Amino acid sequence: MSTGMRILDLIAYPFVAFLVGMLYMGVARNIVGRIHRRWGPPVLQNLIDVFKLYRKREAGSHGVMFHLGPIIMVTGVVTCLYFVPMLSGGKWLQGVSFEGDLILVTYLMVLGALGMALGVGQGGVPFGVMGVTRGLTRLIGLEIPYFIAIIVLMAHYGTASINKIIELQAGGISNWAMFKLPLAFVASLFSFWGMMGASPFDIPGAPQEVASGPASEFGGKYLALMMSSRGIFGFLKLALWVDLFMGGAANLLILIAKTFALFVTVLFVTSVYSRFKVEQAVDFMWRYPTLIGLIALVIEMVR
Amino acid sequence: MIGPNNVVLIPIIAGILAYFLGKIVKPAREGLTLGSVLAVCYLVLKLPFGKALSYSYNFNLPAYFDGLKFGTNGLSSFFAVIIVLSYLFIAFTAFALVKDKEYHGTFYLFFNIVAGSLLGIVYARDLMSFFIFWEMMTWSSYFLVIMNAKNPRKTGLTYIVLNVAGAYAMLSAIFMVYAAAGSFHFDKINHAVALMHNSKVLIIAVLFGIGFLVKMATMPLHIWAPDAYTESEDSFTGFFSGTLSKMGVYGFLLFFATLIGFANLKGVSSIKDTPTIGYVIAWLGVITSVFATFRAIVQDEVKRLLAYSSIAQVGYIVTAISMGTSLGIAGGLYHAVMHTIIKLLLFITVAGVIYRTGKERFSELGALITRMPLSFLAVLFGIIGLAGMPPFGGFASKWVIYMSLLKSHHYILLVAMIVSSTAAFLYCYKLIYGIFLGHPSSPELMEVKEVPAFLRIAQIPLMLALMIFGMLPGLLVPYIDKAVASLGFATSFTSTDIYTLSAALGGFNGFVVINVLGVIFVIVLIWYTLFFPKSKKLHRLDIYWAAETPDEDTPLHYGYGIGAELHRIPWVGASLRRHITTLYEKVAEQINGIASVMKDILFNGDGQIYMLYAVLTLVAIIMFLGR
Repeated sequence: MSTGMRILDLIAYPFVAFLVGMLYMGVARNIVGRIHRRWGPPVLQNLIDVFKLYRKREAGSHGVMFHLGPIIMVTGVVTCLYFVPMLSGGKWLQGVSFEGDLILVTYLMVLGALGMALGVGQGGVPFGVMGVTRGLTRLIGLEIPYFIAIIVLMAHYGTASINKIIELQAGGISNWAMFKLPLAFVASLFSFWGMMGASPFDIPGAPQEVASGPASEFGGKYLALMMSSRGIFGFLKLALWVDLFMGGAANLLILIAKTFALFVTVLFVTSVYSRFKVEQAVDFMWRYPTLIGLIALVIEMVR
Repeated sequence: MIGPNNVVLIPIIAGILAYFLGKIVKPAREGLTLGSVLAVCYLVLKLPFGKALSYSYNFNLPAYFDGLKFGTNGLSSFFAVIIVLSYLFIAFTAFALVKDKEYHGTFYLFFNIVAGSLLGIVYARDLMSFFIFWEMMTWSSYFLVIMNAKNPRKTGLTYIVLNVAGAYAMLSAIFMVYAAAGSFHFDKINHAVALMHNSKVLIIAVLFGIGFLVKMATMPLHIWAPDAYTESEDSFTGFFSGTLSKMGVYGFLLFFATLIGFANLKGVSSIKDTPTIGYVIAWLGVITSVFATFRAIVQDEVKRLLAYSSIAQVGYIVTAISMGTSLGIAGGLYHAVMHTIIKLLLFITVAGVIYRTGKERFSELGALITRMPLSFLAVLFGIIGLAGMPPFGGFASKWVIYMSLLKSHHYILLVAMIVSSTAAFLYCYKLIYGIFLGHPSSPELMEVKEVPAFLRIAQIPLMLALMIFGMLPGLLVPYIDKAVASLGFATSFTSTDIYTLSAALGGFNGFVVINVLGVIFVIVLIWYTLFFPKSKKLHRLDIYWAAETPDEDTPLHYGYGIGAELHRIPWVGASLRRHITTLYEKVAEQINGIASVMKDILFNGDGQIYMLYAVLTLVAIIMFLGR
């Protein structure tokens, strides 16, 4: 691959994630609408919203950190995206994933939230800070099953490199980690639903309780940037789970098929469960998913 | 030649001189301290890193006492560099903050003596000089703790009692070692320990362990730390939590890895190829970090939050080093460096904030970002490091610790460590929000100035250091390798250049991470600033507040209450309601009760009974002597 194509590939990387992510959100609104027995909005609605917001002539700012908050958020999310390979095997859409490992990606996933939290902090809305606090408290719950799952994964495959984990799952569906390590996959799925902000875990941005939480003070271009990074982040997590548990994807079509299948599980959970309190969410996460994960871990240890 | 032996004396002499000369010319104290700092920095950094050197003083002592021995090797050099650099930064902090205090003279006296005694500890080559300097460190830091304390009696007493208890545990172990080896010299000990009976090795390890775990504030021996860190003189706290606690790490490594030897301990009993005692201590470390992290989150005092955070972070180090693997020790050493840098930076900045505002609680601070932008940045760097996030150095050190746990198959330990490491995000956010973001808790906060210039001199290099170690995570590897080699382990890092860090299961390229971050940040920033209409500047009260209009008196600085949720999480709430001191108090009460009953029985005022004791004692002496 020539240098020019390589640069083009790297530039395209976040935009692919952005487009697919935003489209998924539109599809999600449709599917949830059907479950509720109503027509949802057009599939492109989320994209239209973002572009509309980018075109807004004014936005209020509370200071430098408020201005930088959404920028750091998108920086963190896109940086993390570059370390998660979207496609495997070939040359395309790999980002710089060979320069980092799973632990790096896990920590980079929080970086965007930190930038956001700083912006919210300077915004000065107590609701926003409540949202951030709820989010960070929820994280204590979410990360545990997730980490147990990736520890099982790293222990099983003997590597922390995402690319190597994909390689080792090659050779048919039965080699996928979700079938080889089913308990770890189930444990991680709970975390995944939580990280996607699906309904029992949509605590930080609860509209009825904390006025949409962190997003409440941001408008116009700031909100646009936040929504974009949310779209990218959603797709990042889908791609990461596909890489880790579903054998990666050789081309874009397979990637979309696999991520969509995973995405549908989120929708089914989100449309039937109502919201936890934050302490309930942590408690839940520390009980069943952690227990499932620990069983997987013990199996892996004695094996 | 001025070697490690004489370097130790420079700060001690400077401290004593500073005290007396300062009575005549006050600035002499600062001058002498600066001179001593620069001298030891020069001399220690000039010493060849990792080369084994040895010096001996005999003082015409009897032959059975083979004199005081000093020397250096990889491990000593590693910690000596940490000590002298933090001595430098803390000296600068003190120049700005201590100058008008009434304890000006005593501060410089004891501060310099502490620095000297720390160097003495790392350069000591026999148990006697090690113990002398260890005690010197405890006593001189004791005065720095009570100097400015709000409740000196309780704080000071807890500090000194636990530390002296630790030291006496150590002293008994030292004599046990001497009885077996016939010498205090480090070189002769390992051989003697290898020949000892298993139970004796175990007792020695436990006694030494108690001494060092007290210093590292590991549960359940930590109860001195929160008060002592919070109430010690502000400019000294960074040194206290950043550097003094590392002496526990140094001592632990020295004794467990070289003098007793992990191999000897494994011989006693082992779990998954880790000595059982190491495994137990690793769990203590993790439990410490989990509970200390939760407790840090609910604190309202800034320094107390940082105190608990120190306890938690040192808990990671305890876990890493007690495994006794090459990678674990490397991770512990790496984290020791990072934690020292981070805690120096944070405590120095917080000291400056307290100096400028006179307020010590999150509920009294807020919105200082506009008044103190550099300090904001310093705390931001600090919390990114503390949370162990890329792109700064804190990530690299945590990464090594995680890898060491993965490599030695201690998965459950790792999971427990993750609990603490994830919860740490909360106190990190509280720290930066409570001080710098949100709304000012009182109007006078909006008139404060940036921290004094001397503090800025200390903040900037520390921030740069965090950034450089994040960008070039391999930079420390050769030094860590030398330190680990002096403990008799081979290197376990597989990366060879300074840009990457790799070991065991994976690796990452810190240089790429920080560059990707930087490039994206700059692109988005330019795009955002140039291609969009300028934002409208809003007043801090123009916020979404449920259709109400908040005024100046509306309490909007919510964030100091971060952590209230924790009380409602069943298991965490239960742990926060309990405190180990309650248990200690109950035990003390019971012992008191038993003692008073015993007193009534044994000392009942009857002369005949006392006579009986005398006779019985005489009989016992004759029986034992007669054998």
